[in-house]
Amino acid sequence: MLAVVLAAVAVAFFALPLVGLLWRMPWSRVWEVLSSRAVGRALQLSVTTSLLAAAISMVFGVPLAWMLARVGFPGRSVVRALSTLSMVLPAVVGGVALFFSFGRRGLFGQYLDEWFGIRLPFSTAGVVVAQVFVAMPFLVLSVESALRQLDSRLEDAARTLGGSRWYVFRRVTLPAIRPGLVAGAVLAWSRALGEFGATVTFAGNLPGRTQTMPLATYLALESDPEAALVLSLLLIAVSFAVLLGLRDRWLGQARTPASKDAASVDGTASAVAT
Amino acid sequence: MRLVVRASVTLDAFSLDVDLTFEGGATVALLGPNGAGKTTALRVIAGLEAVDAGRVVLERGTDVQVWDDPEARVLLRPEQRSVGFMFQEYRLFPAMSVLENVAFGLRARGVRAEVARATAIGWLERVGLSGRGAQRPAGLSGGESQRVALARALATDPSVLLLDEPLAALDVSTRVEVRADLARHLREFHGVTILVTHDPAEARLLADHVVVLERGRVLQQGTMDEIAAAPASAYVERLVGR
Repeated sequence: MLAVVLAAVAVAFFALPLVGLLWRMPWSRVWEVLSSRAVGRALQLSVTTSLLAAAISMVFGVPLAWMLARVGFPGRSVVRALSTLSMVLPAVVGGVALFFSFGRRGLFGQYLDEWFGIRLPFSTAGVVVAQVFVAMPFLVLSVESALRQLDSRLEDAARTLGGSRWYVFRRVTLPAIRPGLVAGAVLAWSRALGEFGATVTFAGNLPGRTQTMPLATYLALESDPEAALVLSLLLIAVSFAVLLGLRDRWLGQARTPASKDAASVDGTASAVAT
Repeated sequence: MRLVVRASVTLDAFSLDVDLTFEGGATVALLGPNGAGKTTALRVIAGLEAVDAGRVVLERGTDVQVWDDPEARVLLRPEQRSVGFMFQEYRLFPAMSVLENVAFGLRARGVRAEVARATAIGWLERVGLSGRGAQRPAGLSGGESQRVALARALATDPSVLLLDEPLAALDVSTRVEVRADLARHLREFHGVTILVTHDPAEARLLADHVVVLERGRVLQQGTMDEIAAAPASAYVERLVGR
């Protein structure tokens, strides 16, 4: 009984802010705000940078997850802690660290500028860097756990059939971890979409260049609170759709046939181990 | 063709120490209780484990191919060895069709898709499963899965065929039939065949020569009749029913 009450309080705690938000929503102004040029630019910037950040996280994060899950190397736990640190770090701290390393006067940033003419702070590329910094750990953790749960016996079988490591990864490993990969990519993408602290610290708040949706929302709260409500509604709708889709479409659908196969393999294996 | 395996391997608390020679065209059974090192021996030959000391060499006439030799710092990866490995729980790829499973080894070795497909269809026919190629492995019976696994292992035309308890996952009623089929395929195969089993009847019916392993060492070898005539341990005595 007590558990039910406490759980109900928890649900109310998550639901009430949404109710408050919807209660004050200026429904008549929704279309006007969403179709304004400033919001359009922020939305476009958010969508492109977050998709790019998710793609970059995949390109670098999948090999990293594979190393962490499958290759024993000294200092692996340190590397794992390091590459997931930004999950528990306040995003502002991440932004400060990025600023002092990849900023124009930063330890590495000065050479990026000097040698290649690349200036990350206050640029759209800087937004992507900040987003990758906070988003990639979600992908790495998700893919690593999928790889750990994967039965390496199928990969062994594929190797004896003549598959190189890369071929086996593509044909056997990747299809088997697809639910984990998709979940990780979507989580990384939504984390990048909502990124605020590191972006505002490292990339600033320039409309059209670095002002993403969360930044625009925060700014609107001071100038036009009703617009902030509308922008929040949009972000909530996107996040909610992502969470629902993740549950039912990808994880649910992928789980049924995969676990059925796993069960039949386990069944024969245990029948054999007599 | 000849496969020479002189292997010393230590894995956790277990150690395998054998010196065996396998001839092409013959089937050798590795017979022994659980934990005797039979499967480890197969894994060493396939390249899934490396030897700590010793050598694994495949001789084809004058062509001598060193697969594993820590002294010479040679270790071929599994995909570089001409091996077909049939695992006791088959390990068919659940996300691929039966045909794709059989064609996997050929595709992995760079054979063109149409050629691999045609070869795989031929193999499905040989194991009596023509027309079942589009199915997923999950829909197959135990005996059918076994035959797909055999076709997959043989499709790349390996020099060495490794069978790990090939009949153990089957129920008794299908085992006799599948065993007869397996015996026929082994007669048609001209490479080295190594069969792991703990069933003396299986060893007698499928193998020309039997090697008894116990606790990672070769205890006794010869034909099944020779072993039955002079069992070298209490385990072998119980096994042959004396």
